[in-house]
Amino acid sequence: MNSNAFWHFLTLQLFKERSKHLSVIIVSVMILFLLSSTLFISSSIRFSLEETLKVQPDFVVNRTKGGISVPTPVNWIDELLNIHGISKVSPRVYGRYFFEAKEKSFLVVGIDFFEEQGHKSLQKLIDETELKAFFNGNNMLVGEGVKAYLHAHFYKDSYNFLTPKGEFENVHIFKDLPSQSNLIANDMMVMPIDLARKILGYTEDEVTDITFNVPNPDEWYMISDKVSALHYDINVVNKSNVEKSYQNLYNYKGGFFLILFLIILGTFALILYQRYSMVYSSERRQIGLLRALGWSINDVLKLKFMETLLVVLISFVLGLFISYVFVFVLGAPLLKEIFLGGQNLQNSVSFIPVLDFSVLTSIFLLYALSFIAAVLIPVWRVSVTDPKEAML
Amino acid sequence: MIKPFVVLLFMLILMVFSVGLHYTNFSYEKTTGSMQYVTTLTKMAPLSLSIAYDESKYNSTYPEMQGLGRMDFIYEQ
Repeated sequence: MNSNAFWHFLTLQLFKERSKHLSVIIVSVMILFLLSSTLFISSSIRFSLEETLKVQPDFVVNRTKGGISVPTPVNWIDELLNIHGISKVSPRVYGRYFFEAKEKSFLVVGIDFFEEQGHKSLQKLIDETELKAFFNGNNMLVGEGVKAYLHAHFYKDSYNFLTPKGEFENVHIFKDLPSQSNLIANDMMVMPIDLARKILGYTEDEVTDITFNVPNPDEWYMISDKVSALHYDINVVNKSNVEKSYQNLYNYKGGFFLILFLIILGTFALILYQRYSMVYSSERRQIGLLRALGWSINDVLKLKFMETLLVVLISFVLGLFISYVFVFVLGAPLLKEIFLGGQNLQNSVSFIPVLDFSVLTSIFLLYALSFIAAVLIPVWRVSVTDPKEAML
Repeated sequence: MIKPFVVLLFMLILMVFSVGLHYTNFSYEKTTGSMQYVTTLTKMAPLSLSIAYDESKYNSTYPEMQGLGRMDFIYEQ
């Protein structure tokens, strides 16, 4: 058959039977949209966290009692500094501050701003002129979610923290952290380390945990053993543990959606298979008619294959396009709450576009193969029968 | 090919092109840079989950699994 005539007939038929194809495309787009949105969100969060891993400290140690973390003595810093190969030892003071009246919580993080690394990073976030003002008094940097929440509750300039001693500590809201960092800093309140100690109830010689770097990766296991041997109640976590957690992050939720996708796809393929195999279906009559007009089995199969392939491609492109816009342009409203939750502060996070082409190809192959097989097998069974019988 | 199909094809190509354009023009450095500054400053990158106060973010017994909803603590990876 002439190629142009074939394509003309194919596209003409596709549009003539558009109501039939439209229902199939809508269902396919919905399935693909849900699955690819889930995969887009999880891969974007994983990518963002892996990027932050590059600048995270290599090791974190803290004190545990009965498997629960307790304040770590600050003199452990000196013990760590005595081990050859360890550098950049610094304390961390952080904890959640519960705003009881509204049952919301914030992450209070204390920073030693006079430490070289902390000071440099602060300079990137605050102008040089503002730095002096920041150090002059009780000031804090807050995440966008915290700022919006406090603003809505009439804490426009400052917030009164209630310390464990029952005293009020007024802290001025100096500036908000960049909105691009909302994924990690939405509920964060960054303040000087001594102020954080007061608010969270730590004494002068206590910290939450201690971080340090080991520049030579070959020494990681040896150093880890040495640090573990310092105290019986020391808990050592290294960056590779964290990396492993990031890789597995949301695998459970992504896998759950993948199983749902496979179940729905299987059901959908079965419905299509049934429709094309029905004895009195219009498809059956049409195939019989084409065969009676002199079309060979190959021609009929080619027509149905191309028709199905076009439907598959249209659905795939539409499904991916809608999910891309939904996740990376609109910020995945509603669906992001499955991943980030929605019980505490509102988080208007913008996801970094990450397309995992191997996953997209797998989705396409899984979807296209089952779809095409569900149509072509019954079509082939009808086309090999006598045209008279097929048109009955 | 009939005209409506050509229009449809053109629209699909436009969609793919616009996705490609957004993907390549997105300012990755600015976004990851902001997160890296905050991480360097705080020395931590806790995922800002919007969960209830008494619900754990992480499962300390099996870190690879989701939290079990108990109020426990683990290094905030």
